[in-house]
Amino acid sequence: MIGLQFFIDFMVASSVLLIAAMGLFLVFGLYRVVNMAHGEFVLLGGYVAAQMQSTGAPFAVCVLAAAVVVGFASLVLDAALIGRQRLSSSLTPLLATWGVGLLISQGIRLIMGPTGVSVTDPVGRSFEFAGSVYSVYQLILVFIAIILALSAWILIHRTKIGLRVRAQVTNETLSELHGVNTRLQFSTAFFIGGMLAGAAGALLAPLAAINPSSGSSFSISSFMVVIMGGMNHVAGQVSGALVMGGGRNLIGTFSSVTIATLATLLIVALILAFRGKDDLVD
Amino acid sequence: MRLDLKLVPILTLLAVLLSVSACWRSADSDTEFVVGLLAPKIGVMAGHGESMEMGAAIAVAQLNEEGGVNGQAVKLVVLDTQSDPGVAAQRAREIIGRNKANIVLGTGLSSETLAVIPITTDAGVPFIYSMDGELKTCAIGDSSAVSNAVWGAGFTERMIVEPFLKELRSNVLDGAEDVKVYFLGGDYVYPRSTNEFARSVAEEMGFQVVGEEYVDVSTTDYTPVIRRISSSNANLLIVTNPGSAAAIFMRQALQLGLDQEVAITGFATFAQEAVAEMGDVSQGALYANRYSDLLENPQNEAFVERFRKAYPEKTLLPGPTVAAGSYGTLMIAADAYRRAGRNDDLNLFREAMNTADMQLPQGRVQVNPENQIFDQHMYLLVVNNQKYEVLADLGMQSHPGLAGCSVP
Repeated sequence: MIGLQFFIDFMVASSVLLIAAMGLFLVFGLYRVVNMAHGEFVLLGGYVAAQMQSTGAPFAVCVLAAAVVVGFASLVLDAALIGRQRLSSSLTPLLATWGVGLLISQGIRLIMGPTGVSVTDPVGRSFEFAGSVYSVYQLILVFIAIILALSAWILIHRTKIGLRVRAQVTNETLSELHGVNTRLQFSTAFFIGGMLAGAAGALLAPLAAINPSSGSSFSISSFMVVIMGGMNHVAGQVSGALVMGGGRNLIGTFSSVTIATLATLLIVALILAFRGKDDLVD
Repeated sequence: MRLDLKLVPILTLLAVLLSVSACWRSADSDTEFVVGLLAPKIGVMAGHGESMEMGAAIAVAQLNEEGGVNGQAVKLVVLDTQSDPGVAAQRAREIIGRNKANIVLGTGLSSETLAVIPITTDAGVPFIYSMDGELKTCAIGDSSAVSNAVWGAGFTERMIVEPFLKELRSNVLDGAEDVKVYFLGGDYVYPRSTNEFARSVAEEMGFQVVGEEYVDVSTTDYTPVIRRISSSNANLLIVTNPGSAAAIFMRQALQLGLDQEVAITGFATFAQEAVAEMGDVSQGALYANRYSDLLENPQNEAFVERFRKAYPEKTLLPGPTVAAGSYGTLMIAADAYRRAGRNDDLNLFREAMNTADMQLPQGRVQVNPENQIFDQHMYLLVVNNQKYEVLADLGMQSHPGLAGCSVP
């Protein structure tokens, strides 16, 4: 049953990236706002979860707290910096969020110290099946990723809210003329994106490094998933995660991790080279 | 944009004031014994740098309580190397040129240490590096001679590998004859050189090496590696992958039950910062180091007490290991200066330093004059509730001659 092991490991690796990137998809994939603080939002979520868990809070509460804290942090960021500049310039939000990302990581370093924190696996169990060991928590992450992807697709493609969002990103001016409150709509999307980033930080903390410097790794992988998978499509995010995460995992099974990373990046580059221009950022 | 001429006298006055204040700093240093500490405060070694500073500060306070060094009050100057060798070199020039350091301690990464060595050596200022790793005390350009100005306080791989592996086989693997070892490391100099030496020792001891692999330190998915280790039938895993990479690996390894199949240990992998970041996944990990805050000797008890008083808010799991190192280094250096009778003569300091023999928090420490590396006790430790419990004292260990020097 070695094939089952490959498949499950592939799905776990893909799910990890999808969970990390989903918040960025809403903001960057749909609205084309480059949020360079996304990785630090994920990191902040991890820290909130670690602090909550250290008080004895159940893991679900830790995830919720992380989502709420980072959601509100993103609201503040939107109100102070993004909202005004979003339409006038694509460079300003990029620079502003980059600065905010630095503030967050250095603030964490000042308050929490340079050493990272840990979040205990809330399940802490593994099982053996057909000669391979699997982590219960990692399988739960796969389930969460599937639910997340389905929910996002339904929201964007099967609801009125999603219709208004798609209208706004297609033509903001026309949407406003049709009575859509585009400012409120974007803020809501940014808030939800922040919540998803925070929750991702909490969910991924039992597998990842949570220290003041690790925000950038979340940013890099999330941006690559969103760009590679196609900017407007939930299905694109899923395929991006499958190629970047699952593909790297699968190649790494048969070769070294270094070769797997190089091969994956090469595949990504080739896909982007042959992709249509309309999917790329202006 | 034209310069307003009214600003010229103001700017001139400011420049004069700044110059005078710089002279004042230099003048102060004539009446003080300046300890220059090159500590990384940001970057991958930031935790290490913070701990180094705490230990050095405790030592400075104690030395001043004792009347200073040769009549001079001790002043600690700390400059941030940012975990970067280029910055470390620049800071070394500053700490010697501007701050007039009598002695330099530090740094973080091996690359930082190698960048600082030529600068302190040229200036004739003693430099004691604290990080464990390959020997760096040979003379610049001549690996058969020892430097006149560089000492190493940390241990080298040649000091721990053999006693560590012997102890592992007898105490942990119940004297097993068929030890199958898998080596895993980060893909850079320290893990590769350490594992290379460890592999040669392991093979001489009759261990069967069933795998060896190096991964980029930015790796976030260790599942393929874990599956390979599991399928190799190894009963001993030696991981040389310090820092956050260690935390990621251990989390994923334990989730996939690897700890049930192999005894997990490593060099530098379970260092202070990594254990703190790992949390409970470090439970049961085996480690060789020169210090535990649980060591029972008067010097350690006094040091731990001072540390708790000075930094009550710092829990510093698994204990102030790095701080104890920098504290001990400064205490042994200060003792050497006192025996030399002067604070400004490198040759007299060197003569005294190379006969140093002190009881420090980690136990007895002697400076080996052949290579200017601290001979010291090594201990087999097990991580229990994020503290280093001592399983065995591996005895005083020495580095052999100038073997493996990395100074070009």
